[in-house]
Amino acid sequence: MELVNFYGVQLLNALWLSALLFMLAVGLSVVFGLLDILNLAHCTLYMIGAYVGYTIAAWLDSYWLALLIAPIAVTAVGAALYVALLRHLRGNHLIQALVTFGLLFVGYDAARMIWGVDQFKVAEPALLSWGLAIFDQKYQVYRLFVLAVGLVTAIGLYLGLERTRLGAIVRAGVDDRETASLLGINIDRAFFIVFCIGTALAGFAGVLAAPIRTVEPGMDVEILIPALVVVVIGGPGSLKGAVLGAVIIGTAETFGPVIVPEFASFIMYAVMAGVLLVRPQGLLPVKPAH
Amino acid sequence: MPARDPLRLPILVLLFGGAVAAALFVDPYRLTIVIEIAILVIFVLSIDFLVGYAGLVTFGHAGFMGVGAYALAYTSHFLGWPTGVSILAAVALGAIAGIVIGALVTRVTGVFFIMVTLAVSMMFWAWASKARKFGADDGLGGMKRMDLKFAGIDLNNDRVFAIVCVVLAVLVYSLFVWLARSPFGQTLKAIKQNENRARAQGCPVQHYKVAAFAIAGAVAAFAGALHLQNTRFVHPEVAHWLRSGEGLIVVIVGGAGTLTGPVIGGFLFVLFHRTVESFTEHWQIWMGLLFVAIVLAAPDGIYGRLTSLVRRKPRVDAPAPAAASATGPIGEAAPRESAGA
Repeated sequence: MELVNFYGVQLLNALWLSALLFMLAVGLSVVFGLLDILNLAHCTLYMIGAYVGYTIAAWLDSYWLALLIAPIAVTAVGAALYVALLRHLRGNHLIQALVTFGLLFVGYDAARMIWGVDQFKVAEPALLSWGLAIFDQKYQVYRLFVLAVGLVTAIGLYLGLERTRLGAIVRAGVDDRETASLLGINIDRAFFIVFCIGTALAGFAGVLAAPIRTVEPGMDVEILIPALVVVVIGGPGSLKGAVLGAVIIGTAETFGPVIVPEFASFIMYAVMAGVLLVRPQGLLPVKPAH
Repeated sequence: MPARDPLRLPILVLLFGGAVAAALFVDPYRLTIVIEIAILVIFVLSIDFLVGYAGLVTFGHAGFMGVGAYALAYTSHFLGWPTGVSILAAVALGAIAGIVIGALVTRVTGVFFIMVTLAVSMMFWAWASKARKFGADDGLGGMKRMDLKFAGIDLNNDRVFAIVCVVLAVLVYSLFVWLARSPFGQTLKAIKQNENRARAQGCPVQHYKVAAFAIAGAVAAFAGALHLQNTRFVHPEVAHWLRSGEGLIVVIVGGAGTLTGPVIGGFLFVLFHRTVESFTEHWQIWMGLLFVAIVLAAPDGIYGRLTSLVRRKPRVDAPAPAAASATGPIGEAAPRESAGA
């Protein structure tokens, strides 16, 4: 019974981490798969979300306002970045990677300039700062909240992609951009909206993570690597791939240190190497390999 | 490519000569700058070989530097091997790591390649920052420099060490120029230009790419070993993504695929870093912005821009390309402008 309790808690931990990774990776993945833009600074936007969320939560003393306002602020930053820079780099992955890599440095140092090198924590909202009795212990409800938000996001994005007009436009644009344009569809506008949604999710994930993980400079790259791995193993551009990749990595990252502590830091990369050896295009690629 | 460049020799003499002169005369603080430049130059040359010649844009090359530094620390500090042997072992391990990692990462291309190289190098960093034997993320001091006293060289004297480093940087530069001109280097360039054509002509593309990784890995491991010799302190930071990023930035800003460009970039980067650092601790933001500006404005880098400025002039009054090639600094057998890009 003790074993069941122990692994039950680990399972919950794996799931909320997967939810967080999903919300971050889905933007990275979809922006790359659909818009053909590799934005390594995506995780900088996540970090900005966490910092802005921290600042708002400290000023207004409200977690919920932070969760509402910070993603909007992050979306504004992302949209400015898109319009001023990324839009013009479409199609040239190397230049995109280099420019957004430079932006990583800028973001990292800008965060240190504005907020210093201290570590911050955002308090959980009072509504969710209690423990649920499960598996013979009090499990933080906030973590379950993160998990629920991740689930709702995944379902919402799926429905949005499959059932709405915007989703249809996006699917058409991915399939054949030129033909869709010729049919009078404003692909550029649709793609811009998709980019903004991805960015908002990154900022949203930043605020969600702030009460669990510390807010500090370098938190961007710390999550960039797992997020990239999720995108790579799931298959860029694929919503289902991002879900699958996030669950795999979230599980590996949670159970790894418990089961094989000495290899904990390798597991994620071992999984990625294994996937790439078997399926270099990812587990659930959008387009089948040619 | 470095073929027939009137600028190349003067620039190299100026930079490397200046570095040796500086090593002889400057104060101890500036001496550390000279050493830092020499080690960075060796590191970025190995990156340029991958990026500029083999067309493999790696975002995680500092991982190999880490392999070199940690291999040297392990064999010399814990196993008690003579430092010289340890450095050779570090280089060999760098080559082996290059083969293993190269065989894995060259299976994927484009964006996957960028992501995977970044991730693999961070895997080493993650291991190093947890390795208690090496002091985890506090690092481990007490390493020794190589003992060359029998040859009358005291490496513990920073002035001597700086000169040795600069000489090694020149040797590594020469090695890569030779490699780039060799049939091996030419084949790499052909693969970079058109991989499918090379494959169709029967070239074992994969083998060439892995070989390039082995060479670049070995040289980067050597840079890592030198770095450890310099600081006498092993620390996971040596393999951090920031270092990979800096290396790539230096190569791109200097001019990828020219070898000379990255040398210029290495000098400028360290001098820029140290200068800005003396005004503000936030030097990375300025470096990042400058880098983004250069990538957008001059994708062929400083050296690429310089050479195209110089080349444009004689075409106006002396349109004979044969004359230009005859006055080149070093008569080259390499086919003219075969690189194209």
